[in-house]
Amino acid sequence: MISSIHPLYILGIMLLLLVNLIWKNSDIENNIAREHADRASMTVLAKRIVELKKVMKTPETSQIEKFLKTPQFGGVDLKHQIKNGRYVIDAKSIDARQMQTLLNYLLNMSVTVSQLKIERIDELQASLYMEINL
Amino acid sequence: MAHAEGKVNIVLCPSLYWVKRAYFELHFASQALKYAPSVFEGTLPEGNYAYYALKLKNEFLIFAYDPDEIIATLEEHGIAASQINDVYFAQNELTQLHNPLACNEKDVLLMHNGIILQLPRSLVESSDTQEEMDAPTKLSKHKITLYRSSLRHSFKELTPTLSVLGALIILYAVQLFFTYSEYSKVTALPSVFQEYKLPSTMLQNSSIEKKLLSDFRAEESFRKVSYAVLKLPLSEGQRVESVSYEKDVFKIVFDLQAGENLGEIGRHLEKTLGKLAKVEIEKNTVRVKIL
Repeated sequence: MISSIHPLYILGIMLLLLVNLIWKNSDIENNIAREHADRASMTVLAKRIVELKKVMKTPETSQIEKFLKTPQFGGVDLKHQIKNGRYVIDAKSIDARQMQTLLNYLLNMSVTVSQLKIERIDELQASLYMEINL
Repeated sequence: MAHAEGKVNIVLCPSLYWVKRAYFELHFASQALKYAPSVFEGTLPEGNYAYYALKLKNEFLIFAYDPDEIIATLEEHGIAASQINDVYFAQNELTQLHNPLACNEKDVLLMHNGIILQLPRSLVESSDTQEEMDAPTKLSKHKITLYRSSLRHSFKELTPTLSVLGALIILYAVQLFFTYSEYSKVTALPSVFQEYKLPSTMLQNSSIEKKLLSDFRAEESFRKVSYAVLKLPLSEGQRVESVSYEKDVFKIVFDLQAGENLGEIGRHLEKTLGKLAKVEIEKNTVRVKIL
């Protein structure tokens, strides 16, 4: 065989191959860095969602019902029921201390109050109507 | 030698190469090739020689040939470089030569002490001479590549550069292999959202986060405003008739005595809530709208 390939062509091909390899390497390295960055931002987002979900956890009605049945609300005409996807608490007459306990309990939970109505009956008593989104 | 068409294999006559037996304590022909120039030192006419080494049982056969001369000879006989398939030495292809073989009008090839020689016809008996030989069915593996001397010089000059480039290519190829393996590992990892049992896309999760954040802020605002409303510092004799909340608005109705106003209450709420809510006073009613 007679070789008529000039070594400069080989040099050129090798250079092209080297440039291609370097480019490919850097391209894949960039992809890896992007993947890591994406995963990091996804992790941050996922953790935030999980935290927010924990904080914004819809209250369990059974938990509220259990609280309403404690002795501190003994003698209070307290009605509670689920109506149109909302938890309704209706007390025709409740004293100030009981109301404060109830509101402190409910407002410290993660609840979305859609309606609240407190009306004074006399110096010690008031009526309470509250709707909580479920 | 005649004109040829198509691809041809070339078997070189001894007139186109030099051959010497050499004895080296070496194992491989490639090792012997390094000593080839010294084997022929002082014996070759001027020219740009290339060398080929072949290991026999106890010795090496060292060939010297001038590619430029061979290429010129082939071209003289109408054989273009592009037509040439492989190039062989007669020494390796005519191992079964018993009788003189005519290689042109003047010369014959002859085996003497295991070496193929090219001699004038006048030196051998004409009755024994074989005028033509069947084309060998199988050629040896000892073929050579003819590099023009200009190319060989360039190769020599560029060898260090080519070696460095070759080394870099190998280095980067290995690196590429490892980089690609790492990339495969990274892409094979399970989705982060899957780990947290969330929807698969970024868009869905961004939207979920936005909604949760907005609910959280609304709830936080409601809580702050509701505490401020329910813990209003009332002055002596001041009474709240009712407190209601609906659609982001707290409405506080006071039982006002004659001459009493809600300015102090309004200022207190504005100070406590700041930009969180808008406070409006209308006769005996304070409206607090969560912003």
